[in-house]
Amino acid sequence: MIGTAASNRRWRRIFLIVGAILAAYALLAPLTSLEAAQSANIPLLADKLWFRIATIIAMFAVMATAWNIIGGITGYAAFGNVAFFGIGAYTTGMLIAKAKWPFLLALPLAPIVAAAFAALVGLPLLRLRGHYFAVASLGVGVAVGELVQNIDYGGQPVFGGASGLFLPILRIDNRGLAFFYLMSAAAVFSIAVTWWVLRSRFGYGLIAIRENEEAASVLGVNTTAYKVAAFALAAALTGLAGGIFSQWNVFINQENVFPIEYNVQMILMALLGGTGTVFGPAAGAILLQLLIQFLGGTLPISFDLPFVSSDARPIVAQVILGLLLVVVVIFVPRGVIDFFGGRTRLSLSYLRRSLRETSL
Amino acid sequence: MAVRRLALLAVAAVAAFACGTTSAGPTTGSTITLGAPLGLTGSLTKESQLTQQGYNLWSDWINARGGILVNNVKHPVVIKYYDDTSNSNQSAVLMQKLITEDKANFLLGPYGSGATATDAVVAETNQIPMVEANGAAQSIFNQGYKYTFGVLSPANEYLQGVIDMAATLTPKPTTVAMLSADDNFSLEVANAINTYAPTKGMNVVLFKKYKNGATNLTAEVQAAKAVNADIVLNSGHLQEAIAINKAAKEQKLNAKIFAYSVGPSTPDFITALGADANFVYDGSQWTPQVKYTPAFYLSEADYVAAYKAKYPGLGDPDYHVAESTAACLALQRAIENAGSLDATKVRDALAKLDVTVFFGQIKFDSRGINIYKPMVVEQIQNGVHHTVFPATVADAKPMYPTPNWDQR
Amino acid sequence: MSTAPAGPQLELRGVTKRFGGVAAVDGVNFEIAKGDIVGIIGPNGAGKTTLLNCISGVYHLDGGDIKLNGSSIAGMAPHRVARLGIGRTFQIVKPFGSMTARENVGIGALFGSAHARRGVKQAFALADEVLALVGLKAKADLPVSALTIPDRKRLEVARAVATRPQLLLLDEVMAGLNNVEIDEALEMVRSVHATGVTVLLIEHVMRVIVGVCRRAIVLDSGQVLAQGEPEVVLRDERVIQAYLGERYAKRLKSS
Ligand SMILES: Nc1ncnc2c1ncn2[C@@H]1O[C@H](COP(=O)(O)OP(=O)(O)OP(=O)(O)O)[C@@H](O)[C@H]1O
Ligand SMILES: [Mg+2]
Repeated sequence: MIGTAASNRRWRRIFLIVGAILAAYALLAPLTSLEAAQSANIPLLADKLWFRIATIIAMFAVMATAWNIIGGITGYAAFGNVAFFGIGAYTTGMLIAKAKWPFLLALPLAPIVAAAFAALVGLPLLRLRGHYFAVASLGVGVAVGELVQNIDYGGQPVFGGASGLFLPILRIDNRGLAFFYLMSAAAVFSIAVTWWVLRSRFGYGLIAIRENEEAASVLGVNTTAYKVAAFALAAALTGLAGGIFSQWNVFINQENVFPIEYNVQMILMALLGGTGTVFGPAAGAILLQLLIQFLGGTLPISFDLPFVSSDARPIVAQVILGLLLVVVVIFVPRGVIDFFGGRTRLSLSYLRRSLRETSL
Repeated sequence: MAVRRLALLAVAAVAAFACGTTSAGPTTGSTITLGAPLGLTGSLTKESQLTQQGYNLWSDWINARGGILVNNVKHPVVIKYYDDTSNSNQSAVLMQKLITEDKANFLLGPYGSGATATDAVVAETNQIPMVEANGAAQSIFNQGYKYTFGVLSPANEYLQGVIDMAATLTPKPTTVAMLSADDNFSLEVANAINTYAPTKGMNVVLFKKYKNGATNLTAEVQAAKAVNADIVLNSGHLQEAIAINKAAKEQKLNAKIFAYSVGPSTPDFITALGADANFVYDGSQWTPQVKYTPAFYLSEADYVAAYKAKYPGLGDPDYHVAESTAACLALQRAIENAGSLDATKVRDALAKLDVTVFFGQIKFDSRGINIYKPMVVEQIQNGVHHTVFPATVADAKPMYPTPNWDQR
Repeated sequence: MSTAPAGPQLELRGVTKRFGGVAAVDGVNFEIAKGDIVGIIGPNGAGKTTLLNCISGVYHLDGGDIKLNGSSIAGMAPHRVARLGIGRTFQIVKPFGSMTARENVGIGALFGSAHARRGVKQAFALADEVLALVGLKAKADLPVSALTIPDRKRLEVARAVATRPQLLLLDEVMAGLNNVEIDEALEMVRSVHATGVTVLLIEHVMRVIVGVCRRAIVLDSGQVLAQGEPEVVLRDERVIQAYLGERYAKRLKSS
């Protein structure tokens, strides 16, 4: 992998092993809820609540991993990626609800339409640098949600309007389990794509763009094409998650598939886990989403926060998330993967280096 | 050190999560657990609190009686609430938590059409009945779901009562100007008038949409004045209703009936407009003045008294409160009729339910929505709300026609 | 590749670039033959770097034309110019900061001209060769941040060389180096040139111009003041006045 010189391999290995064990547990535990497992008296390790939360975690793992391709690897801080999630959701949703396509046929269209849209807006947007791009992409993210809700044709809302869109419920056995595995597969696929990117000519070009776009271009990197391709790839994966979400959640509207806060959350996850890395964003998604669910009181281990009344809890949750963002950006700029990678201990010099990296 | 502690915390969270998924909720054999995620914080706090008040009024009452009677056994009731922070995605997770972990026997609806739609899917896929009182959008009920029941009249009926009332008045009004905000709920209300008014011999001579949340509605009022309609209807929200009424006075738009879907029933409307609020009509799910003959639970008067006793200083119960209590009553009666706590049997009992309570008749059509209870029409008369239609439940006669602005 | 038999490899005709109203490069004409090694000198702000940016496609021209092997490259995007075989360095080095030296050079090898490598493995093999050529073999796995200033200049050259250019543009790669380092750098340029690459280099250090260049072009206020053999050009009165100054002229005579 680029940019990481030889480091403490022992720590890295321990980290990978622990991660693999946790991942295996998370993926296998749900199987104990199958009827066959139940009748064989295998104790239930994960229930429907866990499927739902784990599906959300996997969904964010896809989004954070996808964001990493444009934001982390290419260095363009996209703040509007939720647009692709929503476009994916509405693409699949419309095809299923209005055109009566079967889910598995409609799903592949989600990444395709999202990527096509990203390529279209990427051409002008990706000419902008730094915060101009960030702000413009945020604008696109907001605008798409508004458009989807408000486009009328002949007085009728084209995409279901404010009342949203209902898809038929996919009536299959172990539905929750199936969607958990589908979303997890999307997460694994996104990670695999990132792994491939970081080893490919394409990925080297993207990193060169991030490090110095002008140098990259005179060395022969078609920067425009590469940036647009990275944006479209990120959009495709995000759109895929949206497509799965639409059939999983059954009901989609502007509120639940274009939430502005997802933009910040997916970036925070990538930062927390480590931008530019293969597993970092997914690891960040797991950590942060567990924290969000914990603060939101949905986890089984939920307990009262000291000094916080239940009324103030959501506000405190927001404050904690905000503080976390600040702490991560300032003190762990390379993410927890790097942090636990063992090369650096928490020390004054690590802090100093972190502060240097985050200041201009 | 902050970073390390944070990191440890995160690891602890993962570990704890991985090990501790089996701490089950407190289901005792004879207690019925009901679950409701509500937006107790966030943008829907106000309405969610009213919903909770309505649920709690009933649970106090039923538990004071020892619980719900099923086959000669009384089952006390616990309502478990979670705060979904007014976020519908969160609402769905909490619904699942209520079902899986708290082992909720039955579900009560959240506040709002978005959350209700999402939660209806959770109820449907878990096959646990949900009775809701705060999602009036018909789309929820057009999906063929078997486990979601709504006690309130659907959106399309919101202003139909005004048309019904107008048909009984002399001189009979014949033209309608329909103004509407462009959000889904408002449009559903307005579109229904478009098709309903002609069946009562009235022509919709103007149908004008405006942007949801608009503060200046002068142009819309001028358009209404240009067509000189007998009835001016608005389907929108409180602020837009106030803006239209103000503009109507300024532009000297005179009509025999001014009726707004939402707004006039709230105290803010009278506070903002003073005497100009008089004569305005609105459609309401319920008013404290209605007179039904309840088969069980409290009469309107006792209900209002019980509310004031439990929540002093808040005035009369809002219709949100009443409809939420009505949802509980529907569930209670269905459980009694089923003679069982079995989810499927109670669902079937809900489908067959036909009972009248202080809120009106509760009976679900095949889609699970209550089309049998009429909307009532209120009018502000001398600064006080009166129920004026249907005559069977009214406490006053409509003051008709509305005098011209310069004759008030 | 190139089918142009006798014509110049690079040909500039009336090349002009303005910033606001000011012409930083103003109607520049010259030709460079294949295999030549040519120096560009001129006072600060003469337009040397701007000219390089024009050739490499970083800037759009405001006038004139640039031909490589007889066909115009004016208006081409930088990556297409690179693809045709023009490599360049930046006066202020622009390394890829998070990468090792080897990875930096690998990018050049992986993209670069049509002669560069396309597979990641082969590209890194080529990068190793080039690193050896510029004397960075031992530091190949160091991150850029661990490299000294002279090493970063070498890296800049190595990256451009790894694109396998037919024409290499060097912008003051020896500025700020001491005498020993300059000698090493000169050796490096000579060995690159020896592989058949045409070299166009900008330098303030006269020793370099006189030492390796067969021809020198003097730029002043965006215009070509003189061009020819370095010794001849450096004795030109106008050049001495515009740029070198009397003191230098004396030193040159006495040497
Ligand atoms: N991007 C730019 N925008 C505006 N003016 C510029 C730009 N780049 C260069 N200039 C101006 O054009 C002129 C030529 O600059 P250039 O950098 O080409 O000179 P140079 O010969 O390379 O000088 P030096 O020896 O200092 O490197 C200068 O006056 C400079 O200020
Ligand atoms: Mg220069």
